[in-house]
Amino acid sequence: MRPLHPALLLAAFLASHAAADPLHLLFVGDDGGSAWRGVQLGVAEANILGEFTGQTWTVEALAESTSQQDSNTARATLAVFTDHRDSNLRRLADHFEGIPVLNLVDNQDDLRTGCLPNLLHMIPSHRMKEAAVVQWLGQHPGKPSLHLRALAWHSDFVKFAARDLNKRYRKAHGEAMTAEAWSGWVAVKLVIEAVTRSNASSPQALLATLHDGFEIDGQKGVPLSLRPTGQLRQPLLLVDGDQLLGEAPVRGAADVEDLDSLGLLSCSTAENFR
Amino acid sequence: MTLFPTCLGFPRLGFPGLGFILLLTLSPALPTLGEATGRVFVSNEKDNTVTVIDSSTDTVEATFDVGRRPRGIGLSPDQQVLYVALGEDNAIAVVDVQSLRLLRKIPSGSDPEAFAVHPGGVLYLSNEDDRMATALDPDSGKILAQIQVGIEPEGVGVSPDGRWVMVTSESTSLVHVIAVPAHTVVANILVAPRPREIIFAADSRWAYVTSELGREVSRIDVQKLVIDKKKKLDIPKAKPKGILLSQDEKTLFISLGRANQVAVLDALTLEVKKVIPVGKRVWGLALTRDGDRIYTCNGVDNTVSIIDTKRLEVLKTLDVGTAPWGVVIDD
Repeated sequence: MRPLHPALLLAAFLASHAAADPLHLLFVGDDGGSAWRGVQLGVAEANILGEFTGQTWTVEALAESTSQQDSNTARATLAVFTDHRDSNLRRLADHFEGIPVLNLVDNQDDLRTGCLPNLLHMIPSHRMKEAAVVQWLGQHPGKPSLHLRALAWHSDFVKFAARDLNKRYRKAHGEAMTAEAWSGWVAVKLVIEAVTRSNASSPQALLATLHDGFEIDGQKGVPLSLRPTGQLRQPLLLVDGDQLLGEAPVRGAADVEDLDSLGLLSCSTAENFR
Repeated sequence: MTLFPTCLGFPRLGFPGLGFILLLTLSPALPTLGEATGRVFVSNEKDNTVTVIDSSTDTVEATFDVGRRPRGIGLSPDQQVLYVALGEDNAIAVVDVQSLRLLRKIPSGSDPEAFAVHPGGVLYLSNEDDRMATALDPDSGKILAQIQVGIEPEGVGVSPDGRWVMVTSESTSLVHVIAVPAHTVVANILVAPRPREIIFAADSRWAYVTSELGREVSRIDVQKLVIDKKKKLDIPKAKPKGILLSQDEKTLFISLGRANQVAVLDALTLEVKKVIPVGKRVWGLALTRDGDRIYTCNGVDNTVSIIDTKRLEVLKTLDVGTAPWGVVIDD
């Protein structure tokens, strides 16, 4: 027995939802990179949710944001995801002033302390990763491996529905989900959940919602939300070589839900951006 | 035949004796009833067994092999057989509650985790990998319907009146409302992140859903198919999962996972009245028919706690198999 045709259901929901137009997102960067692949999975899943809520999401990938495309693109897009770094990243944030720009790959601490109001960081900062390693070593004393590090994600992570996400990514892209891919996926999730749940219909309203403690499930077991610096607070995974060891905050060194025990930075400027 | 006024082939409800007699007169085709065993069945996810507790003595009576990765557990409407979802066998085990014999395994589609038993006997189960809810006839083994839902389907609840099946999709955070027997999705209700389980009030008027990451409980108005009330549980580390209504339906009991507690809430206001410490990573919950005791599955301690619902404290703790997940009572 088949269920009602999806088109009938979609029509019913569109009738009961104000926004029927597609919602636009933009990716700027390397469309051969894993961050982009994570974004693509995020948008595909947003559209699965959208089948039930009457929303359609589109994402465009641009290598650069050129001056010709800029005005049209900037007018239409709710958020920008990027794997640009350094000055390119800052330029992009400046250019899309007022629109959330989500940093998917750059770890540098000074991007966080700079507190650009529209620049949001999905990937953990250097300081966070260091803090995770220090917590781990504090409880696991002995000679540390040279290959010990903290990552946002690992394809062997199975707890908290991570197994399901890793399977979905592998099914979509035929490869293991990297930290940068997860960063792209979670960036999309953060944006689309905020729009769906708070009815934020403009980039400015979206940015305000995100800066107001909006929480999502990033499939790492604890709700994720933004710190005042725009950094996504999150558990991290300790990895030695390619072997997954455990999670941070590290039980015994900190409360496992005290995500700000990992490398909390503050805004270095005096100006209040809120 | 011994008469049990509440064992009518309907989900576990307290029907008065007169109602039973009327139904017996009006419904000649009732299934054959036997005496309930009083057994509490617990699925042990990591050692592929089911633990059997004798509820008259609250001691472990037996443990038997059931199949690979047992999680969801439930009874047929006539309470003659136990169903256990076997995630790695892609099947539902059917076990005789008296003899504890494994009767057969019904192929169920990929990776079954949770299911609910409709009063008419059909099993509704969630297939995590496929984004499907499946209606499975346990007698014929036929799949009657497969209904597309959201990402990571898990919790399944069936209304006592048999009209609705509700399925949660954990990653899209929706409650999908399926009309029975049409098997069409008539509503999709957005709830707080990671909805896990659903239960219905006895009159089918209300449904309650736990959201694990959102740390919320929501009450759904089943007539209007919208959220009537929702509340965040202000309990540190709460990861709401299992949910039960007390016999008088004035109280909700919610298992909190790694908070290692069962929360006690006013069912009307959704305010937390008390928390009861139990074992580690508490998920599955079951209430005795008399409403006096709750059995909880403590998945990391490998124990079951038995709670006195009047005193709201643990009476006893029993060792069971490895990683107890779900529990159901034949009483």
